[in-house]
Amino acid sequence: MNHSARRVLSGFGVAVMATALALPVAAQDSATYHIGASNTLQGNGWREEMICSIKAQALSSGQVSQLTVAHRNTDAAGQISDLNDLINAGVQAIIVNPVSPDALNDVIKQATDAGIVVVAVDLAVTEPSAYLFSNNQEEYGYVGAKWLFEKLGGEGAVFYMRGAAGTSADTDRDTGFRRAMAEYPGITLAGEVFTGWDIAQGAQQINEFLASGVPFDGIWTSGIDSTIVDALVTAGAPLVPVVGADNAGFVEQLATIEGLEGAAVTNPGSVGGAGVTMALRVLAGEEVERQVLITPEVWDNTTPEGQAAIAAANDPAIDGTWPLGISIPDWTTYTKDEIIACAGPGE
Amino acid sequence: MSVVEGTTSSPPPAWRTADAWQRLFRERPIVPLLVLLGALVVLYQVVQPGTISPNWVGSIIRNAVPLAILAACQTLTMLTGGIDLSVGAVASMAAYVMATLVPSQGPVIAIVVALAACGLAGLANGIGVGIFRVHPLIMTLAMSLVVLGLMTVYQLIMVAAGSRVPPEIRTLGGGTSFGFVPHNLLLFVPLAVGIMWALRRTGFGRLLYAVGDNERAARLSGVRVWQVLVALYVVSGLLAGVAGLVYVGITNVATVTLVDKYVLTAVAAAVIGGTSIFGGRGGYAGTIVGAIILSLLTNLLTVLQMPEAARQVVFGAIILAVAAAYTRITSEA
Repeated sequence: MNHSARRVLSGFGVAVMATALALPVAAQDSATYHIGASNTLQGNGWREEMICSIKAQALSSGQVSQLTVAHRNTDAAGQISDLNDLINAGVQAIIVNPVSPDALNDVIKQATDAGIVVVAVDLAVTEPSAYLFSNNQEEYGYVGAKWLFEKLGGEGAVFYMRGAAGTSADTDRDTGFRRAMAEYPGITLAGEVFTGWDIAQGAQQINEFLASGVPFDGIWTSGIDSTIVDALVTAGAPLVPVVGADNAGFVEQLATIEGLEGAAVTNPGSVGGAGVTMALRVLAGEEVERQVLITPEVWDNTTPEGQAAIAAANDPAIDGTWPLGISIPDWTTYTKDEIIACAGPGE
Repeated sequence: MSVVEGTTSSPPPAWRTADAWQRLFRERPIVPLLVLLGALVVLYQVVQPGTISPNWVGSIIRNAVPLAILAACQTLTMLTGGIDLSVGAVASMAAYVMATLVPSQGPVIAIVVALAACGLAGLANGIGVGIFRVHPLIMTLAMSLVVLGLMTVYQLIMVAAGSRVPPEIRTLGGGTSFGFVPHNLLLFVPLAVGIMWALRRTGFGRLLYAVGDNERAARLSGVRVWQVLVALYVVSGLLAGVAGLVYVGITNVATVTLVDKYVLTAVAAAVIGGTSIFGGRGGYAGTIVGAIILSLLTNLLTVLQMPEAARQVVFGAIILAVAAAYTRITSEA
């Protein structure tokens, strides 16, 4: 919409504006950038939202004429080859959700040496010439754990359901979680498992944990959340406080399940769209910080502010595995309908 | 020779000879499997005293049921010397299509459409394997990619459609009675009995063994092998769909990759259960015990709080050891 409006405006070529606005209009009007994106996990709600956010933001910016997305299930070798393909396709910027912190360094260096802006989103890379836009995962672990420990009055046993072992997001969240634990010495772990961010595996683990009869007072999850609450309800187990992510299914539970106390910690997939904005700002010659880490919010259903945030975000129509943090203020400009439509420039 | 004959006046009892063991493994693979299962339970009791309870047994069985259904796909296809690696994608498709159609179409139509889609995927596999003679490994692996790709597109269309798992599916897949009897047994017991009956007592079942044992001989004796294979892969697709619905009943959240991680576990369950990947030998009873063993093993490794990497190594090593032991013990040489 925006995009075509600008076209029309420039199409009339209003002479009066020419001298005063020539530069900015030209910069905005010419949707000339070719941007590439690379992702290595398909079918995951969070990653799909990230891709849609990249597309929606590229379209909404009005500055991107072409978006090439390499979106498939692959590993480091596959992503290196995807990035090479994007470089050869002549892109001016690459948004990449890296499969590993250092495996891509050579190809990223190659890209930035050629003048291509590389923005890593979600996870960091160690190559210093790349930009980073990500949720602060250590804070993610910390703020949710702190809420839970506070809720338990600083005393109790927590079932700790982590993500995938060895990933940087899981390690960072664990650092935050342990920091909160150090502040609440009365908190112990009733158990610790890696869900691998796999719903079926998380369901199996919680069911086995419930069947084992080990006493627990709260559950911290790394984002496999609504399934855990469902397991508690199905088993008729006590509804202890649960920490999850801002996934649509879990937020709906926080809004609707009687007696459930819980908190959703935001982890927006829209860092993808924010990465597009970051790249466009760098291309426009603006001063941009190398690393932007956004601080996660805590939406807890036990305070009026939290309830308001949950009510505002809750949308039962959205796929239960999509995070509801679908936009990031100052960094994304698309609407909710636009990200759901998941259309990029030229689509 | 004559010396040996002369000195074997008191041969060791039959149960102690390697021959007898081999025969036992070959003809009744379920006996040693049950022994292994019992050993694991004892090990569990030693490692984690007091955990074993009706609740715990129920939870292990509830998790083993969908795995056993997925492993049925492998057992049946492996009997013909094939394999079905598309079951993860197909089962996930059943779960996701069903959940996304429920709000607009209601549960009955949603389930029918989901299973029909699985049947179609199976039909495509069957046509590829049976008529175009594509190797089942390649055909079904490719099919899993096709299904995942289609589902990724479908997911974007349906992302704001709302998805719901109907209470009937949740009760059947994830519910329990008296606190420990999993409802999914209501579905599974008749299904398992049906599969075992079909393998032993029906012409179709015998044809699977015949095709796997010696396809050429089967063809020469008048079997239309391609028809058997097409029907087989359709059945496999439908079974995968049923497994997907049971999984989503447990998780209450459908994704297009929900069941992906269980494909190789299902293959392992069939192999541990004594079905030969070369075809012609095996059965479903062993597979069921194999699925229970793997479900128990997964739980045991979780309880032991092993680091994830070590868990994967141990899990892989145990499967490998059991499979190798089988090959050795049951080898026809």
